[in-house]
Amino acid sequence: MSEPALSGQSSKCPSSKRKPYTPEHSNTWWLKNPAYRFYMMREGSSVLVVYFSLLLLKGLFAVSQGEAAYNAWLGMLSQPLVIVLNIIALLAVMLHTSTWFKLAPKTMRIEIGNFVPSATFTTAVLWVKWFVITLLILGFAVLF
Amino acid sequence: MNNNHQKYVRSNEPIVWSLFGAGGMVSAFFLPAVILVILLVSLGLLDVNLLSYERVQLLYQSLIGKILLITVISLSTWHGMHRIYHGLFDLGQRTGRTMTFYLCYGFALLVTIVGTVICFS
Repeated sequence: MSEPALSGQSSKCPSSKRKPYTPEHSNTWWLKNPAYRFYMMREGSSVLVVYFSLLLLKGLFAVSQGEAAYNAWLGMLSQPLVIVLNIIALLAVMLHTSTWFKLAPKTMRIEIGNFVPSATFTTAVLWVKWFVITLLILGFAVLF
Repeated sequence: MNNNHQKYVRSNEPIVWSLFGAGGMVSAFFLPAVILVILLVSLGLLDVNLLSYERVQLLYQSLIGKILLITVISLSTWHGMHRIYHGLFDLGQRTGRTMTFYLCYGFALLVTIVGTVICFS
């Protein structure tokens, strides 16, 4: 027969040629949808978290090296670029915290005897604990 | 089915995912307040003496202080590097993933080791 019976067959190799489906992969797939953009923003907060952890590591090293080194680190904190980055880092970390607390209850089943808290309840408890810990840290820094 | 010819390759993902989870909790609870304190001091809204060398030394010299600092710095880094590793895949990296794995988590391990050495040597 001269014409292939099925659309995937070519006349060159009639019994085996097929046209497999290769989906398109774009590196900007995440720009196309608000949910995807939010996801990338959430994951992108990690860069700021690593930045700030390294900043703290630098400070830790400075403390171990004596007063002059530590004061130099303190001085670096007042640089405009560092202040801007820290403000962005604070926003990024708050995004991380809020999305983390919303997600965490969904990843685990919690049953305390007969009490099964809803996801919203667990999120609220996490926020309460966060509030207490934040107050403790702020209080410790200011008052101790 | 027990196939003697196939080798079951275990993934490293659970190890790094656990560290990611721990780091996520630690960074969610502790980092906001720490960043806020540092910001307020560097902006002059809080007295700069609150972060004076003497006060920070007290934290650094105590065992609980060392453990807190190491935990926050190290676990937050593991958390961030896990997200970065998978984020690179989301941004389109398909080849060289093993190298990226070792670079990302090797960096986190390096931060952990450096922090521990600073505190405990």
